[in-house]
Amino acid sequence: MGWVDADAHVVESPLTWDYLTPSERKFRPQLFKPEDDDQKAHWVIDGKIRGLFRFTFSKEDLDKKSAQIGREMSTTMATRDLADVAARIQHMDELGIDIQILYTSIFLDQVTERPDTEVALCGSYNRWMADVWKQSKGRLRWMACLPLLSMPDALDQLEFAKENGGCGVFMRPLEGARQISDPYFFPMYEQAEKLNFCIGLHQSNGSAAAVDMMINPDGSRDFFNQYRIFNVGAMFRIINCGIPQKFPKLRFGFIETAASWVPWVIY
Amino acid sequence: MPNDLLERCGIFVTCQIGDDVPYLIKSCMGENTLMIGTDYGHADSSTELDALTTLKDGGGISAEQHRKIVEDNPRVFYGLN
Repeated sequence: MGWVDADAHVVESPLTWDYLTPSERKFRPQLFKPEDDDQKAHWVIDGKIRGLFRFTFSKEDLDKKSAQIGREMSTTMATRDLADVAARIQHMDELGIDIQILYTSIFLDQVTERPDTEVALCGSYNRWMADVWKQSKGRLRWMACLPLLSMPDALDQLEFAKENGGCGVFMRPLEGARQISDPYFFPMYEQAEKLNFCIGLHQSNGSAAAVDMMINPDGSRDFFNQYRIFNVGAMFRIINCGIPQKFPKLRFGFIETAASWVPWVIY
Repeated sequence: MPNDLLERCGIFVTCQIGDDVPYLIKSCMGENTLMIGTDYGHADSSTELDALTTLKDGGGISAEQHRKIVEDNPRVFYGLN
């Protein structure tokens, strides 16, 4: 046994989309780099900027930020985007971590409303993760990003994830126009329960409309209102809608939302 | 309200260093539902690469409680056992 980092991330790169099948290459996301910001690049999907941006901080940027705020956050691009899996594992060893659970970055925001685009991008992401898992010799486990706009494809990719180092399903507290208590998701919950897969509700938002509505007046991000608060509501909803009674062996996790609010919700 | 409601519902939560973890354990959360992560790869208010060590050294919890948060509970939640 050893320490498990219950919330770690990958930062997607062009390598992520090398796993698209030949017929899906038309969906390949492109990167747009702003002229005035060297710390991020944006994904262009279906001709629009979609999904969470790609963090492109240098290690030097992060060294300075870590020193300023008193929290260690310094990583290299190659360990973040897993261009160098061995370097990631070495860093985990330095941190005393045995296993990391990998969550996405791009899918923390909605990437598309088109089922065919989502099936292609999720499939590529999940195949990339399977490869990373093999390279890591099991020390990097991962949360499947399923194309929930197409339930049959989601169930297929769930099976693939189970066979290839996945350990759960990443979900967002709002999935498009649906709440996580929507019976639409029950076939996936049923299958996840059978496969002993958990549901990781990471701080995120699958509704572009809700994210846009809650943006700050100056256009800057408001992580609390755009993302975090929806996870708080999701815990209430899961319990209140009786999801644990319907799926008694299915585990739900609330990830990167801190925990101080939990007694407030429960009481 | 049963004090093991989260455990009965199969609900787990990652805490952060700023949380009052001893209070959370004594409240409705108990010892068997908390986990912790580093947010490795990002650089925002949740990111702390030393989180698992910092919790051990300064979290105000026992060694056994720390072991549950960084080993036992995530292995149960993620089905790693």
